[in-house]
Amino acid sequence: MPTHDVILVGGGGAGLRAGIAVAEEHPELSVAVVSKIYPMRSHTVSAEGGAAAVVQPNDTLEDHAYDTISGGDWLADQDAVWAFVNEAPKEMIQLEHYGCPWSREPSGRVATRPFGGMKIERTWFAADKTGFHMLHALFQHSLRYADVVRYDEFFVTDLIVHDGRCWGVIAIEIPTGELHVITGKSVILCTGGAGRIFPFTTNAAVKTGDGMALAYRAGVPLKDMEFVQYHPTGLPGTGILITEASRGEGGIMVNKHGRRYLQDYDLGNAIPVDDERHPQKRTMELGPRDRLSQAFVHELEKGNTTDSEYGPIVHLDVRHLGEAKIDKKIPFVRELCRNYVGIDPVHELIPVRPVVHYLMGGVDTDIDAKTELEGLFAAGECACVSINGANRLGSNSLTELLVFGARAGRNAAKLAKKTKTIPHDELKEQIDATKGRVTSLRQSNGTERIADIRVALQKTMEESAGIYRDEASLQTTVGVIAELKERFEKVKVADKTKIFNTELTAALELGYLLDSAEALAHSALARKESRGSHQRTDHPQRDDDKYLKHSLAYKVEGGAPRIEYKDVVITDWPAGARTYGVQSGLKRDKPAEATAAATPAPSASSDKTES
Amino acid sequence: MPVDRSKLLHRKQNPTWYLENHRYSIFMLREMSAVFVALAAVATIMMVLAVKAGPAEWERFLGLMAHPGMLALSGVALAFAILHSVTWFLLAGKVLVIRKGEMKVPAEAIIGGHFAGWLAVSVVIAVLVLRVL
Amino acid sequence: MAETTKLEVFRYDPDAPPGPDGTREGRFQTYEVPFNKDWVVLDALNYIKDQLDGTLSHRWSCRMGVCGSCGMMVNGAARLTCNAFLREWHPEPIRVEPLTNFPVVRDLVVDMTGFMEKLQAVHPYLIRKEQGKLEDGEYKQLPGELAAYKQFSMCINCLCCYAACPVAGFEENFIGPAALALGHRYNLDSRDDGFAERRDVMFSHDAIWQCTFIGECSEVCPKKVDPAAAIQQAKIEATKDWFLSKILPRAMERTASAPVGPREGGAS
Repeated sequence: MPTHDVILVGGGGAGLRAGIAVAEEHPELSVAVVSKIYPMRSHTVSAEGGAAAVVQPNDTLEDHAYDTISGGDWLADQDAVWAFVNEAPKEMIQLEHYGCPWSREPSGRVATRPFGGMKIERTWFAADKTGFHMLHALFQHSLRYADVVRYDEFFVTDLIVHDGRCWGVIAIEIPTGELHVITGKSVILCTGGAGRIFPFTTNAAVKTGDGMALAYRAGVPLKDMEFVQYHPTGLPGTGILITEASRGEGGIMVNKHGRRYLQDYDLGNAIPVDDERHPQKRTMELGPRDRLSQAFVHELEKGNTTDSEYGPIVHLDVRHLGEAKIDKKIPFVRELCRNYVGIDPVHELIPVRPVVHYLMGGVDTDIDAKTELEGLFAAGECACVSINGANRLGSNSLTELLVFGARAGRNAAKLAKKTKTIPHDELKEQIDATKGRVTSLRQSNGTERIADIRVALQKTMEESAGIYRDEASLQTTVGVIAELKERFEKVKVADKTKIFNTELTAALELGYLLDSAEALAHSALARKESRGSHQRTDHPQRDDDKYLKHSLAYKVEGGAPRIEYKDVVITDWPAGARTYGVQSGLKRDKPAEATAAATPAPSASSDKTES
Repeated sequence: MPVDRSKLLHRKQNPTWYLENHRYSIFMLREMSAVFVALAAVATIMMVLAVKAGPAEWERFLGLMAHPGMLALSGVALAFAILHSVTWFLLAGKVLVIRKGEMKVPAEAIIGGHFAGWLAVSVVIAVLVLRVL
Repeated sequence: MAETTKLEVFRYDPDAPPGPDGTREGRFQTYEVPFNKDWVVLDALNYIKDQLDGTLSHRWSCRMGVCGSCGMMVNGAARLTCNAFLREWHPEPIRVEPLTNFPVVRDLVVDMTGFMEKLQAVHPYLIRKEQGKLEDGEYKQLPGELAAYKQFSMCINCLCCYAACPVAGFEENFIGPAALALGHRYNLDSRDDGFAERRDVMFSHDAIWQCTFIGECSEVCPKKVDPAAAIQQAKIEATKDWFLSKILPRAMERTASAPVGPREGGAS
């Protein structure tokens, strides 16, 4: 039975950053990276546009905090946001020191670009493959630490929980089919989101809510699960992401009449693309993602969208940027458009529609990445700290991986050092039970096909938990999910072999999807207001009296989850109106202690002295 | 990790793998060409020895080289030498990186330059040789 | 029935007993899937997995050509199946096999543990003589210095280049195109001082000198990394390094052609 000090479940950006934090700061500790795929395959790799951190001399941490909090419709915990914006620049420089090939200014300094909902250019980028470069830089850097032990292609089936504390994981070694018990003094979940709950998503196949469901089953609540981000520019058919950087660089959205329709939705005025003020920050195409995706639905209702064989679309126009700029700043957009829709964005309009992209919700953690369960931590998309509130701003998630990945690593290391021994003898009972369950799943003679249940789940989720929601459809969906969970009890695994049995892992993933979807749908049903990405047609107003709160979904065996609420941490800005367009900007009444926290980071101040 | 390596399948290389695409075939030709280039080298050594041994030997050497078999061999060796040269110059496009800031001199220009140089040198040699004759 | 396409898919059952002479065999299984002009080979494989035969095993994830999971042989060529459209061959049948030059674990899944060791062997990370402090900000790098190595940093580890390289087929220990290109990427990075540390692996018999410049690795690379160029450039660097070591033994402390940071020694 291998044993380690810190166990990471998932080897994407958050997991690797956590592992490196432990290896660098506590070289005496041993770290296990347990991942169902090779770490460099993790979905961080698909992130395109960039990562936000204050670095420009005209930018401030306060602006970043305010943009994030207002962008999240005031549901973000403001203490967490401050920690995030404070540590972001340092983390980004750290990643540069690890070798990440950030795009550069002619001076040799790191370049930044504007992004939606952000007041100033603060998005660091590596062309439009930022996530790819970040992940590979982290992975390659992690290879220098012998104490970071990788368990590649190990699929975690269970957390080992004993006496109110997490002591490790049980995992199937996919290439052999053997079950392994890996014990540890602390466990960090960094398994990413659960976009595969939906049929049309930018998310990779691996994003099946594994960590969320593992925590949920262990009694840890899932927080704010009702908040699902639709990215406004996905390619029809495949759902492949066209980065927000295409708008950050000046791309515009047009409906079938060629009108820049966002001007009709309180997102400011459409200034011409050849005006030097274009693109204006926090305005029009650089509004937040929730508002842009909602505008699409209104355009659809007005008949202003174009019909395509993959449903209604609008167009993203980047032609005016010219070939040179497109090739330099967003080459991947061109490659994806040519490969998957057969058009060249240098000369043609890109067909796009909103697509499920990110779950703001996740495993409830505090600002130190700790969950309610002693010994269990979470970071990245699978966690909800929350800095993203009801709507995440583009380019905050890559930074979140680093800031909270590192925090999770440090705090997990601290706990591991305090913990003397692992009570191995007492864990045996649970380990045996799990082994029995996995073996019986592989040997079961079920009749329900995995794909049928998955497709039914995705269909009902799209119908009820999309951009706009209401009581009736959500009620239907929670019923459907309950039925699907019953059918899942009789799931069919035709493949009885052990070596690389991906049908078995698909069945286990389906179980994770069902649990994550259950928490999502019930949380959405319970929140009778509209906030950020959660828009209820039957409750169209934001209701701060009742719902300026985080939802917490607790699993109840054999029944609907219990939904509780906890207060949002507000330190600086009371909930206010969310304005975008020309009048937008900082509106606040800041207490004195926050000013201290807003002391510019070293990079920002050195930037000032140089420019 | 304890993967059971005895259960791995090691697929065999197809014995005619080098016919599968033209780059593999050219690679094999380059490998084979060593024989002919070596023979050409031997012929050169024989030539030097013949010059040293006097006019009679030289005439005999010329006679030998005029034999149709030797002519064919020389032709093949020349073809291979050209193949090598062309490969070498094409390679230059990848190996020689000339940059000015973010701009890179395109491989085509570098390759073109090499071929132009080759041509120029050949012309000069041809002119010199023909004039001497 | 609507239009269909035939896929001849390689199957290998590792639990099947080996033949009398100890050899193991795979076989081809033909599946008929609906033809959709927008489908890639990966879509067809997923259709088979979901609807026809749950026992088929293959790797995949992002389906947008960046995670590197789904490299396979498609009609004899190493391709990302998420970027190989059925329409390229339709109505001809499409033969899908695991990447060549790798041991097969099962069906379309290859064993990549050897590759992971090779990747680690080239020390693919920034090696600095002096570690910068975070307070001092980022290491400066001019756009031209970034451009010098950027292309070689684009590798997604899909392993298509190993499948295309006959040398990788014959020489199990050949470090191979992707790993060597990555080592070269760090040698070219203006922030790196690790040339000497990578020398023993990069310039060893099993590394760049095994390459006979067939060039097929670069042809099949879906990200246009051009590992063949990286290896030939590294050969030049290695040659220069060798001569320099003969002329100025103490200058062996030198870094790559674009050195950064204080040099030690002072051979002049």
